[in-house]
Amino acid sequence: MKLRPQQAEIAGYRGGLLAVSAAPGSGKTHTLAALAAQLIREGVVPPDSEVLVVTFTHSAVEAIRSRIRRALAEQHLPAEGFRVLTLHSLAHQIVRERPDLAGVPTDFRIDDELSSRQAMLTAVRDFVRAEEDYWRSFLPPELAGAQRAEVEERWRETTQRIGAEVTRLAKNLRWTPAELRMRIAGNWVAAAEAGDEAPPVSPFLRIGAAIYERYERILSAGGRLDFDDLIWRAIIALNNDDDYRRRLARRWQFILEDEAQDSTPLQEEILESLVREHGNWVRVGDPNQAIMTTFTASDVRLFRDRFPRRLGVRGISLSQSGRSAQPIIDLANRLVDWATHHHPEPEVRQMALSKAARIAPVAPDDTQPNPPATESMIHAHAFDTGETEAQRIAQSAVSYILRYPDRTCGVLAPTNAFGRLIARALEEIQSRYPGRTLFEDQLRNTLRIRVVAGVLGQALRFCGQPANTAALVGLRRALQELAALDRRADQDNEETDEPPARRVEEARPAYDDGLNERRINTLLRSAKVERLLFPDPLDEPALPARVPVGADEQRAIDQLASLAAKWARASTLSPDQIALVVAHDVLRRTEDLAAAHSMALSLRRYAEANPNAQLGELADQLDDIAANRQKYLSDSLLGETSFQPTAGVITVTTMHKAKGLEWDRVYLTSVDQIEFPHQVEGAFRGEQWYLEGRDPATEARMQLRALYERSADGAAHRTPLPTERDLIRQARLEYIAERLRLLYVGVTRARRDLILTWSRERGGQPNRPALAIEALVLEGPHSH
Amino acid sequence: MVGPPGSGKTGELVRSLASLLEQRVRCDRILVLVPQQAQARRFEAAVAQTCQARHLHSKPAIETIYSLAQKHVSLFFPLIAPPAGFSRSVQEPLFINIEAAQYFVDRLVQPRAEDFADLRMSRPRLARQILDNMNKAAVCGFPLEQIAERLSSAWAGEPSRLLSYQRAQDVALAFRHFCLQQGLLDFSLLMDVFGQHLLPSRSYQDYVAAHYRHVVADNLEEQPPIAHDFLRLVLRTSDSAVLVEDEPGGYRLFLGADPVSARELAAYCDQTIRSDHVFVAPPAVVSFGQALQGALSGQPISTSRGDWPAVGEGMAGLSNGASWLGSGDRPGIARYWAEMVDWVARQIERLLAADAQPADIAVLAPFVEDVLRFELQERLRSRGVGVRALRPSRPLYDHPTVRAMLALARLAHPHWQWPLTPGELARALASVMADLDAARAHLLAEAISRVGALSLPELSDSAVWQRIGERFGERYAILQRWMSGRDPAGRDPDAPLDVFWQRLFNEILTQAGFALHRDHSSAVACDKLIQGARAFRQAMERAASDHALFEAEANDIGTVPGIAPKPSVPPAVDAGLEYIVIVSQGLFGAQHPDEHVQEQESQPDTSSPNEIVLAPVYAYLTNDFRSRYQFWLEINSLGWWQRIYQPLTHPYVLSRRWQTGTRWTDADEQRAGLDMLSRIIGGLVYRCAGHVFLTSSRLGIDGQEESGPLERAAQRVIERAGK
Repeated sequence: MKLRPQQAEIAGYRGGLLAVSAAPGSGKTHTLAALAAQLIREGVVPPDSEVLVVTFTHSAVEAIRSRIRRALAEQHLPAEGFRVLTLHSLAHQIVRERPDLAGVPTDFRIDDELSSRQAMLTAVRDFVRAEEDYWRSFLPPELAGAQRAEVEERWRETTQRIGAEVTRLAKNLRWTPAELRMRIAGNWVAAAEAGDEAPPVSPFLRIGAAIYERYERILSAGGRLDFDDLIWRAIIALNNDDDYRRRLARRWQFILEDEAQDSTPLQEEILESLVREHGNWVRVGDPNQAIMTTFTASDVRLFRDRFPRRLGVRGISLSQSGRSAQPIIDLANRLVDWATHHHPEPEVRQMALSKAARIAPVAPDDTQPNPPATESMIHAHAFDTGETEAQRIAQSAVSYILRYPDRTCGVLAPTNAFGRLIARALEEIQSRYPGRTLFEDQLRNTLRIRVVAGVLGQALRFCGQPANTAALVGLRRALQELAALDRRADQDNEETDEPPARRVEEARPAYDDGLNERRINTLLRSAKVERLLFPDPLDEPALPARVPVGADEQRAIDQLASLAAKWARASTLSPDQIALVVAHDVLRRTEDLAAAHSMALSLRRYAEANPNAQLGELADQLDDIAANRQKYLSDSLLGETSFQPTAGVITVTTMHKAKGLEWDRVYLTSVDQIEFPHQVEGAFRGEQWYLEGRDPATEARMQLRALYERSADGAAHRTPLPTERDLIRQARLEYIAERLRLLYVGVTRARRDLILTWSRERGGQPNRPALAIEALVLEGPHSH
Repeated sequence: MVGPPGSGKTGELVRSLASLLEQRVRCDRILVLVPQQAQARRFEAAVAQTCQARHLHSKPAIETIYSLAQKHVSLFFPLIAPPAGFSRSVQEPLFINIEAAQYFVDRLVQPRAEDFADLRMSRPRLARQILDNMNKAAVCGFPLEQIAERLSSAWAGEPSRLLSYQRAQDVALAFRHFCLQQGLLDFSLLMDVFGQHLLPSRSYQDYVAAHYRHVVADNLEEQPPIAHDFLRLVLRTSDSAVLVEDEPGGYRLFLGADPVSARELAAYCDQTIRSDHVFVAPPAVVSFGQALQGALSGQPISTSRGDWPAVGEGMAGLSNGASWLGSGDRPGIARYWAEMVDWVARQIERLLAADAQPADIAVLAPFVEDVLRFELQERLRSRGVGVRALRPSRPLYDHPTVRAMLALARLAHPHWQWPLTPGELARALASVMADLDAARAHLLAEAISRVGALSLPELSDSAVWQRIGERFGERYAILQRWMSGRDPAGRDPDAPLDVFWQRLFNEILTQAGFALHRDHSSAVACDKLIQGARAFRQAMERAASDHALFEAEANDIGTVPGIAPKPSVPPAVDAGLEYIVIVSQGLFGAQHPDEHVQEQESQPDTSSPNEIVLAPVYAYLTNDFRSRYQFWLEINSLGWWQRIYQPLTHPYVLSRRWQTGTRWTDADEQRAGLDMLSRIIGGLVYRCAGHVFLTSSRLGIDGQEESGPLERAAQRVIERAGK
């Protein structure tokens, strides 16, 4: 492993608290892996102890793990002495090892997004049913008919957001429903005693509290923990037995934390308590890429402002980056300067971007130098409408990759909706290039994921109706798709001389048999499934006698029948176990098995949470993944292989999902003042016209935070809560700051070319580019 | 006699019993005490064999401490009821089962559920733990009032837990009070009365002295302290006694077994014989086990390459003692669960192709999932080899036939308004009718659903039966006629649930053409279900007069703060329905010492030489199985060494020797875990007559990556062997 001077300085770390502020493209994963390997190699890690590497996503876990392995293998060392975990799997391990301390039984259950969302839906439905009159009283009385129904539906969705956000924040503040109820009541009493006209607690927070209570009751009845509970319970376990905490601290003598800017206070507390004695904690992150704060409870201030100021913390910045050409580096740095000095909202100047993490190019003799400035371009362009914007970008991107088939190209949208618009435009162009893959849609599931989900879904559906010919035909179709995909992949591998993907040892039979599909399906449709699968000597033949059946066809049908019969026998197993049986009968590739295992796990959690769910319902969930109605929730799951852009293929994705990736050319779309606002006055996302422009979820969340902060200050009950106006103002400032960081992430994805686009009109209103673009690109040296 | 398993102790015990009988000692003067029913049956078989060989005709009864206590408490009830605190109105005791006890405790917990809000557990689970604590107090002989005190003083964490302990104890005391008022004896009250009132009673002591002249007791280490107290009483006056202790042992520790108090009985014996000669396990296996134990405790491993050359065929191994899946950077670890199963299946196929018999092979894991059994079954089916899954702690609800009984009960009680889905109906029919496959069962369920009744309709459409098969048509007609309730020979619509099931069992399910005609183990499970329902009903009938005890559930949860909640009405109680609800919760019985929920599947008569054994590790050990080949699966699982944790109970703190006021530290936890794991390893290798296979998967079936001490010890041994 070759290291640059800054990277080498970090790899020379041998103990203590270290904060590494890493610029985009500065090779932090590489450096972390090198450091872990170094610590192990030099025997700094005591025997029976490990280097713990903590990161944010499962895909990052795999990436870091394999890099450490490689680094150790280069030194002829066995792959041991380290452990790479996500924060959630770390919390899971802490709870799993001493559930009694965490207050849960050994076989506690975990909800992933799918099952906890289901629980939230139930909680909201029950709440609305029980408090119907109150709930409806928020809607304008004059509404009627279809409009009323539509508004009710939107109010219901908003109610779900209130419930979800209050629940998540309350858990991160470690307030139980009872405690939250008490605090709300306490605020009332305090206001009454003081004789204040103090603003009463927002009705939205009260609704959120009630939903939180119901949601918790649902989880509690099933002994279930959602992801936030898992973190909370891990802290409870560590706090409940100091010996246990110390033992874990001895086990992990070094903690290397990746993506530290995204840690929530609770996650930070877990790591904090594990390093309390030895103090060996390396935190690596980029405060300018903290773009999770509105989705999670993460707080960039912890890593950016508080941690470096702690006693004994050494700070190193990893600023050298070979990723982008100089003009792009300049733009990113100017964006930071503009935000910190010239942003129209003075508060945002302190909040948004940190100057500590300026990007610098690498030395010219670096093995991975920056692309030459002469080959770089920054371009800004306005279109009349969003539709033309999408179409023109699609055309431009296609001509780029046709001209430069060895380069990568990413189209990044701020929202899924706009990304889909571009994907549709690309699909149209694609139809004119039958032999060439033009783009990869990262907004959707990959083809392999969809095919795997399709096979598992059809198999579950079949197990739910094992006498149904349509289910059998559907099953065969799904298996055929899988076989076709496998064959294509094998051919691709032969062409490119790459070693074939790692296979499971035993070859599985192929189902792609080149037969006339329509004929086989007709045969299957006319068959008696029960006779086909479970022949009885007394029965007539399963297939109608009038149709002659070829030997190949018979073989194909028999093969399907023997699998289907096995799976029908498996139908007494739990759904996740059926899925595993199916997966291991037909999947040949490790990546497919990994995906199937994650889906099985998700099914298991879903089925545990909904014990009365039928197989068909579970099959529907998988179908949703297969048909792209639902994004495969890969991040909460395992085995996701991390995505890397392919040369000559356009990637369509969101700016959020682009984190960690890079392309030679990047299109940043919709960089307008709606997506990237710069002033607190004006319209914002989440505001509901039927509620006079209020944003209930944000209001509830902000007030809950204020309630908490006041109680933490010890000033409880005396100072009034901040007004609704103040809270909303605060929320908007935070949003503005986070969107600036999102823009920064977008800009720093580009290696050579950066193209910024927006539309002059949006939703029938005139539209302008984001102020930062106006200030830095349109009025700057690159203006067009 | 003290010694490892497989050193001939039990054989010695049976022979000494036979010689007593040869000396014409009266059977009822001999006390034969074993830890559990299943063992009693096996012991009985061994005794019968020996007696037959020696032409002896009478056999003594074989008791567990539970069966003995039940008999003697019944016998002496009038004498001990007043001092034990039973209400004057109680004439005779009614022994209640775990389901009834759980139901009553749950009703007591219901209005107080919020008190346990810092724990994340389902309410039935909470009830089980409260009962568990009561049972532990009773078999160890300390008062219920000490439970919270013991747990609290051992706890060093947040004080909110102390409140939960106290609340749990309050519920326990309320339940105890209720039982004393009603004359209901759950396991804990039975043991409490036996230990605190019967054993100290003078007249009972005279009775025991006169009654039991000779004592034969096996596996003392698996018995609770109260059994040892009883033995101590008998030993004072008996003429002869042979006591046997296995070492290593104590696998029922979490059910209250106490190896230390067992060992104290040696002081009452004239001599202690150590039998150290092992007949079962070959030296290579024993030394492999010892190396593992050494690695666990961090001792240097004293083996050299000479002892353990590697073997080929995709395996690295210690040629005589053990082998493991040889792959990659973590020996023994497959990436995926199914790769592990695949390896196991191929090894078994290889062994069978050589000289092994199926019954020589045991597959062991900390937890046995259905899919493991299914995959092994499918893989071995073509060889005509079956899989015998030994899962004593499996909930009744997991038996397909039991589920079918529940489904039929729902069909017979439409007023429960608990309709079956077509899938449930199809599975029920497939489990009830012999040979009915899933596809035909679904066709039948669809045909029934088309008629759309809550109950089974007559189906005379011949087209349907032509597809499904006429023989199933006849069976369905029999079932339908019986279920309709209109046939005088069929079910009585007003009969209680247990009577309904009993008749269904006798008149339909055990008849030719139906599932239980030949399936003995399912029949045993169904019988348990019926007995459970009967006992539950009797308990409910007796308790019916005192329902005022139970308050209505306080219900202001989940309402908007500041807005008044709506009141709720408590529903009426239907014993049958309540029983079904409890069984459907599917709580496993592993933590419960009640015979009713234990050991349903371990009759020796159900085993066949053509089946391999698949068992959880604890079940294999407590049932004292022996095999030529053992497969240890999921060796990286924490399940190999962790106890079952429950936040409201504690097997060590609630044991007899625990000093109240002592803190239970994490170091204690570690020590206890290592000690148990070491005993498990010892117990397994002494029961292995040939070879151990180790394997694991990186990601378990629950998707979590684990790394436990057994894996780490195995790694060290393997590494060492490789050098």
